[in-house]
Amino acid sequence: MGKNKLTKRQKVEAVQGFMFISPWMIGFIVFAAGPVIASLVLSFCKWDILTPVQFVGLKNYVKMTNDPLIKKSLTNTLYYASAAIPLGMVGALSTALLLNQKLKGMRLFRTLFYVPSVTAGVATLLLWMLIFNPELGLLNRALRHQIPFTHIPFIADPPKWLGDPHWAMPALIIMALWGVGGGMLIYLAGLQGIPEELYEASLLDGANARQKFWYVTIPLLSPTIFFNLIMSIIGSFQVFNAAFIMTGGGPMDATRFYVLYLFQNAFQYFRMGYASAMAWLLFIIILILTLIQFKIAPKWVHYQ
Amino acid sequence: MKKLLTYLAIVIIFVPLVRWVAKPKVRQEYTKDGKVIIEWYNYSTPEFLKLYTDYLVPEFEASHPDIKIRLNSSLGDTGYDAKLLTLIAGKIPPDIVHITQQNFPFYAVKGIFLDLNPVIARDKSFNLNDYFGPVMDGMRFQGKLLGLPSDFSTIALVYNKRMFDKYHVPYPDKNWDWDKFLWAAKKLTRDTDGDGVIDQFGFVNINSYNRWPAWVWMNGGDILSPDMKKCLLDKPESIEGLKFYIDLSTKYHVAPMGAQTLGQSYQEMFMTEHAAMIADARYAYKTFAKGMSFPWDIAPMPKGKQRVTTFIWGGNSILRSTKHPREAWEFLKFLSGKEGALLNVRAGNAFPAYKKVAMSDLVLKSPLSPPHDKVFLDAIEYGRQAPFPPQFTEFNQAMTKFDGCYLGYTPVDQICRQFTKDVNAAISGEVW
Repeated sequence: MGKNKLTKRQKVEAVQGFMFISPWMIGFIVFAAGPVIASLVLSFCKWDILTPVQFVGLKNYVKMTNDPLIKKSLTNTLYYASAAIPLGMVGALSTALLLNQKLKGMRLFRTLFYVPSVTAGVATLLLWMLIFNPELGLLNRALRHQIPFTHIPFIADPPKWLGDPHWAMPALIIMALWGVGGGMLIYLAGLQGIPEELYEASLLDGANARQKFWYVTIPLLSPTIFFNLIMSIIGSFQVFNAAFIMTGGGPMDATRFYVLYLFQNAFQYFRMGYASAMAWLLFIIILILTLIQFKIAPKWVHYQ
Repeated sequence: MKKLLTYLAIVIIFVPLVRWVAKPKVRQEYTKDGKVIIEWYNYSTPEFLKLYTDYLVPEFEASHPDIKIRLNSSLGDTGYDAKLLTLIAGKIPPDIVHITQQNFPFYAVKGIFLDLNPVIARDKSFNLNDYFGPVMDGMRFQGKLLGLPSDFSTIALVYNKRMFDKYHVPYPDKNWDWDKFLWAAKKLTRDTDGDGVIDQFGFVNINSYNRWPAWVWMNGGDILSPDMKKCLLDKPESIEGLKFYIDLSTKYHVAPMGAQTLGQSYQEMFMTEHAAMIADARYAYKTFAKGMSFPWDIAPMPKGKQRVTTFIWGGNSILRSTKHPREAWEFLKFLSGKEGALLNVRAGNAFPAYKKVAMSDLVLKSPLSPPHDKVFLDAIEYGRQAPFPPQFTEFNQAMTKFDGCYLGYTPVDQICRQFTKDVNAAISGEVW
């Protein structure tokens, strides 16, 4: 008991600390914690906003097991995650490596690669819709372009991208690469945190560039990689904007991501209870994935 | 003990805080000088809002000195429903709301609108015969009248005379049947620059619930049984009707499929001469007024086995939760009556539901009118409202399956059967 006693100074500090974080704490409790608890309660109810809340027990959860669109949307999300995460991770890391060189004008390049992550989401999505337009779009025009000195086009009949159930998802995955700037910035910070001495030491040991990368850069960057991995897994499971703006989940449910379907249930079909149950399932899935991450992490993540 | 105290402190501080934030705001019911405040929620665009604040509201308040109208607008139709639901969930609902055939079903089945039948029975100054019956029926649900329509239009064929002249196709008339329509659409579909890609289409078959039901009915099929207990879209004549409509793009290629619209809306395609005909409502005049470089006219929809078309409307409903139903009813009458009708004319908003104004020269000889403008009005006799069952949400969701048909990926008959199965399951309560 006596050990826990705080000195007066410490007490004042603690109070000040709480005061400093109180804007966030209040915001969290009012705008996040409240709704989180409300959604847990709602997930056992049926509610369409207009008529009174009706308790239905586990019916929402039972319904999810029979809903073909739940399965489809989860598959879609996994498909997206399994392609977009590795591509994004490798893309961001390699860009960061390139931009970590000591070259003239590097700041300009860094800015250029980071700009897409800053520009407003919906505007860039509309831009990408133009790029993917099967007839007029930049991408298909380039693909239909003739190979130099011949009359043969590169691809005479390029995919319809967002209009084709098989190509809509690859289109969104390709587009996701546009946003590697965010991950790149974190890698760049991580790369610059690696002490120069370690590279010098490895040089003395006769390491070549590849060995330096695999035995110095990667291990020392592993906490950063770990962070980015968790963030991109969470991010891919919550992917929403692109499908909401560009495809509305179509064509033929090909891009109906889990969170999009959740949103549609809540704000298009007004099944608040069902949407809440979906949200909790998503929370459990992400929680399990993240716990697995933390379990595996000690095997490959090295903190300095 | 100390821990407990800390928790207690948190509870003491935060619970009232949360309660304060979540406390329902009370809406003002009366002005300071004792007038009843009626809040009207609508989705007027800024130019409409100006008409309301400059003409409609002052006129009403002048003739009803004990009522004050407060406008609440979502400024356009995106977010309209979300805001309305938030107002209702937040316990500060408006008294009267603007509604169209698109979102009416959702609210109607929830029973939040006031039934006007008893109100009308009491009010001798109101005559139902002043309004178009079929339009009024659009706001009836299970025997209740849940609002008054203020404006409407049937769907008719809008065509580009210049393109018809250019390819020597006779103008459409009331004798057109499906064969004639398809023949003309084929002649008007052209690859003008010879690059193997079609540049102009005969027609645009948009995937909309206020368009395709007409083609099912034309063919003698139906969507729901009159008692709303059974879906009939799997009947052969229903399937055949919808299939013809979708085949226009997927089989006959006289209408654009998927990306062939080049990202244009069907109205834009018509206005830029990428489509020679469209099925549209008189509401389109406002858009057309922005610039049409060619002569155009209106013709009835082609007839199949029977003559029929869909129609769309806008109107207003009183919320059952209102504390002032009498005052709200006065304003509702005003919105749909002569004054509201004249405002709709001024705004170029299709036809007023109020007969005397709709059939006056004010409308039919407006500067926007093409020669056969009256086709829209005549079509009300054979116009039908696209039906909806009480299980509207499931019905609406089942309809998304047709997307694949319009892209040519899934056969129409298969989806019609799937749709029927889904809707019947929803009606019988197996799904909710």
